Amino acid sequence: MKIDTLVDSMADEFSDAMVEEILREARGGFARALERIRRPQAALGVVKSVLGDLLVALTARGVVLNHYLRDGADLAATIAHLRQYFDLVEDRRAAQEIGEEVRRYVGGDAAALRQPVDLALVNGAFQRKVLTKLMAVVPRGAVISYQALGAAAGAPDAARAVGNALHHNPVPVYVPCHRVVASGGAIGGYGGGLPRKLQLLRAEGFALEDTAAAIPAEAVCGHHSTGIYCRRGCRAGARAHRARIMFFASPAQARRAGLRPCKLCRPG
Amino acid sequence: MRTIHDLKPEQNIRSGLVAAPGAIQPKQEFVPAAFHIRPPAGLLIDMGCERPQLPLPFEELMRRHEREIMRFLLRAVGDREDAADLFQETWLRAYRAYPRLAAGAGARPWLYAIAVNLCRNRARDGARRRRVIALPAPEESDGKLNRSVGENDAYAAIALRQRIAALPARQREAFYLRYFAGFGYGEIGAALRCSAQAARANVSQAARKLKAGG
Repeated sequence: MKIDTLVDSMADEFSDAMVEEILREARGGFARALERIRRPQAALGVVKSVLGDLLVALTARGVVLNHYLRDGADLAATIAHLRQYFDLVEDRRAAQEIGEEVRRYVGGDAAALRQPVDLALVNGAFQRKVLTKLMAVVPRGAVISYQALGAAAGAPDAARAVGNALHHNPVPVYVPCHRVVASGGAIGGYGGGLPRKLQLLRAEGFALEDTAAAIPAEAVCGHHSTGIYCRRGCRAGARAHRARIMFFASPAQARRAGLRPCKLCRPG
Repeated sequence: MRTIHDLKPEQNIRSGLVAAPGAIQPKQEFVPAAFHIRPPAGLLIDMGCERPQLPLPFEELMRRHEREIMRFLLRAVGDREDAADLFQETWLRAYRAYPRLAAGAGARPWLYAIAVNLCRNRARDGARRRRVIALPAPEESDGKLNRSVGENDAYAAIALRQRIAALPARQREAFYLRYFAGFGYGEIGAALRCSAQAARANVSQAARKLKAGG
């Protein structure tokens, strides 16, 4: 007997209608089982923005990823990574919305970033704490040092770890990791490249050239421990612990953060 | 995972695996294996890359393949309860592992590989689950003339299934994929993680044994 006829004899065993019926029953059980292990959904899109190509992912809780894209390989790798945590749906409109918010923000609109942030992609409690502290403590128009941010997160000796946490920030711009600089006022690095950091800080009121290596001299330094802000190099400022230092683009911004001007250097 | 061996020569030419005689072969760029993961597409139109494609949503994958997987399991197992169980398990595993399937990789051999593995596990645990099917011995049956054709087929199917179940696992699985899923040898190789040649050998050995038994 030929194998094909043998196999055909098995083909008729289950009719199409029967298969449909069995399928219908099985689907219900599967859907219930799937609900228990389902990954959350995320809308994903690429948008051209003033900061370059952004790969944006949004969950029900907010922006979960805002990634500066380098090239196609980077895109593929990032999506492969995202797939482990989310069921991805392509959604250009959502991405364009984010691109638009970023455009307005870089254009100077302080209230442009409306979307909430979802830190689901942040690994580890410390990194999460650093990023939430950063959002809570450092307003627009101010920058903080790695060391000071570490202190705010309860680890004044952990400047390196803070840098690491910021480097892995999945939601740059929305979580303002560009507002963190070296203790002496040098600009420091940025995951998306220095030009983007300068672009963002400029949008927030710092007068920075394209080649700037440090926070400008007219920025004032503030100290939450003493509650005052000073010109750079003021001896009253030197008394404040270095690990509490923040820089403000202008005296007005320091006052808005609840600090008073120093009586020695009269920063205005 | 099609290879040259799966296709007839003229198909090879059409699919571009082999140049048509006289055609000038375009110079191929060397691409390291890691980048064979296709950049998701739709997205990429904006970036000036070609062939953008986000991996199929899982629902869509399931919509496309659930029918054939169910049919395959029914044929392989021959029992609707068991097939429904395996169906659910297959798709749950597929869902869990789906992120690890490269975006451009063929989902079909991958799905069948999961289904076949589950069938193998079930056969291994067979002592616990096996349902005894009493086949009337040939001399006890009333003779084929009294039976309808459909009935004859059913008996032949049960007999065939028993003989398939007696095959070594490797040959059985290769046979399933060849005759129940209609795979080419390259695809069988991809699903069972062996070469196309090994797949072909397994299928032909299985077929020879089944023919001899019938």
